[in-house]
Amino acid sequence: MERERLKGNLDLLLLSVLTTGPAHGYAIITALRERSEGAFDLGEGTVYPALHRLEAAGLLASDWAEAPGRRRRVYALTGKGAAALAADRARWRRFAAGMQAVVGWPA
Amino acid sequence: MTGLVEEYLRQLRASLRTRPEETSRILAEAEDHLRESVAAGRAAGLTETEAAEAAISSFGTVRAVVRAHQTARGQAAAALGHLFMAIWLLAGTVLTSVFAVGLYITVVMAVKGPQPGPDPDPSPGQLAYLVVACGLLGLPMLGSYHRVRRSLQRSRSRG
Repeated sequence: MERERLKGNLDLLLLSVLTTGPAHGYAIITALRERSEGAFDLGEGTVYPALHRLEAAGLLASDWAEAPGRRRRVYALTGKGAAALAADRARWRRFAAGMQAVVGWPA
Repeated sequence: MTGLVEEYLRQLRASLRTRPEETSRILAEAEDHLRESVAAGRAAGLTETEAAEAAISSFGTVRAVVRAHQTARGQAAAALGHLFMAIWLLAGTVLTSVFAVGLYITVVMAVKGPQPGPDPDPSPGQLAYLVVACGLLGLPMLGSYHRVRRSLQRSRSRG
């Protein structure tokens, strides 16, 4: 998976991962890698600015939580984020169906 | 925590150009992430050093992380700042060079004494004024350039 294409869809991926409940950055990134079976392997440190941006846009909320010997930031989907995710998912399904119809799977 | 992770966080702190509260959040998240990643590597059977190297490699280079955190506006402002500093340095260098060359010519002319023939243009008096003006402008410009650069480096290393 090319990184640029992945970056273009990162917001949708991050919002989707958080539908299962609040999580901190490491858990979000690990879930992204595991659920994509290793296909979505971004530079982990570059995912945090995307989380910050989504929070600034009101799609995520975050708060500090205690981890053993350190602080961690836990992110959760907001109502606005859930609505944006629903709209993004619908757009993605239309796009994916269109791509699939034209490109198809290899024989 | 291993020294590798500490060193990475130190470099990240020194390189980030973000507001202090933002920097502190970025560093806290990076530390939490790297420590979890190292613990996962250790659990998978890696040595402490191997786990730290793998965690840092997956997190990305300091440069890539810093670039990702810089907003488009911040990048534009930084680029404009660099351009201004470069022009300032160039102007200061040119003026100081003119000062140095002019000073040399003035001294040579003074040592040789008045030459026969028509008065040179510019006259030694005019040249002296020009040289002094270039020196008065160029030297403080170079000085202020280096002072600003040093203070920027100090504020970066403080984070």
